[in-house]
Amino acid sequence: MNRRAGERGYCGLDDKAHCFREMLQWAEETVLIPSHHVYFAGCNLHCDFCTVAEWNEQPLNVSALDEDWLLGRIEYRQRQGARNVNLLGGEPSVSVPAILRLLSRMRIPARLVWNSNMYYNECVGDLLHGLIDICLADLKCGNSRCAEALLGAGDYLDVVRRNIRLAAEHTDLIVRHVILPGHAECCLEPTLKWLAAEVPGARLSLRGDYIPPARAIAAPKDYMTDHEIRRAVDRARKLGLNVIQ
Amino acid sequence: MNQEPHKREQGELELRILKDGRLVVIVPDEALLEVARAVGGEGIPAPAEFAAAEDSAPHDPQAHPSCHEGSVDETSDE
Repeated sequence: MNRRAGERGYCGLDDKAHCFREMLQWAEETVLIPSHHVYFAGCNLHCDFCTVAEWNEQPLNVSALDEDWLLGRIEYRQRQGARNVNLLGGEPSVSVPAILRLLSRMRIPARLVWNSNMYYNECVGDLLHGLIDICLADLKCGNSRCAEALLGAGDYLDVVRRNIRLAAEHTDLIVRHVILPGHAECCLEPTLKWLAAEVPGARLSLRGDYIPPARAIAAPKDYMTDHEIRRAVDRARKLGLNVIQ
Repeated sequence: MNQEPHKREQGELELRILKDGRLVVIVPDEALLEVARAVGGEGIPAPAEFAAAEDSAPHDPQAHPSCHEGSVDETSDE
């Protein structure tokens, strides 16, 4: 795939990054807020329950990133009190060349959060090595069948688990699992057990704020209840995991 | 009236009121914070706290109009 030659990948992007939003975000893990969120359009997964699908389906509708503008916004958000620069999407790894260029021009000592679905080739991890302070890693599913149905990626689990293990070696790792209604046995339980066995030192953020899509195909159609969330947190703690809010 | 669920377009804001009374805001950017404050959200800083910094911010909404429209109440990014 040669994006410079005009080809488009699965993510739909060209050879530029496209920032569709930046804001100071408070609805994030407590240790991160206030967090300066920088959203890049385009994603290499097609999750049935994506809450920003409109930006990922047509990323080129967003103007190409103006680095000078974004560098100005980063400085501004730091002055506002942002504790970090939080790179997300979509999926930031599909914009990694532009992100590396941006980071090379940053002149302020902001902490960097890599807020990713972790579904990328090893070379991406190599490129980011030493640049990222905090890895906020999604772990969405606990088995390949659900990953294929919900995310459109049958090899999701192997790829993401490998990258999370690597991230644990050189970043401050927070694993985020959005609890899916009806997926306690097939996704939540295997995820918790894998984390306890493979990255027991990582912090775990269990999110109970799943939002069903308006036109769900494979995704759950319900919202999580407080009782279900409490039960998930209790189970994680019973396995010895460090659950954070 | 179209009974099909609305497919959200870029820049649109979406609010859902659930049967049990919960309010779900699917949008984002500072507009989300304004809505959350309006419905009594606790711990959300008032705009005045950031007003001084805002005054001196480099901000060109014409160059990046989409960056200042709706966004999601951060639950999941993908």
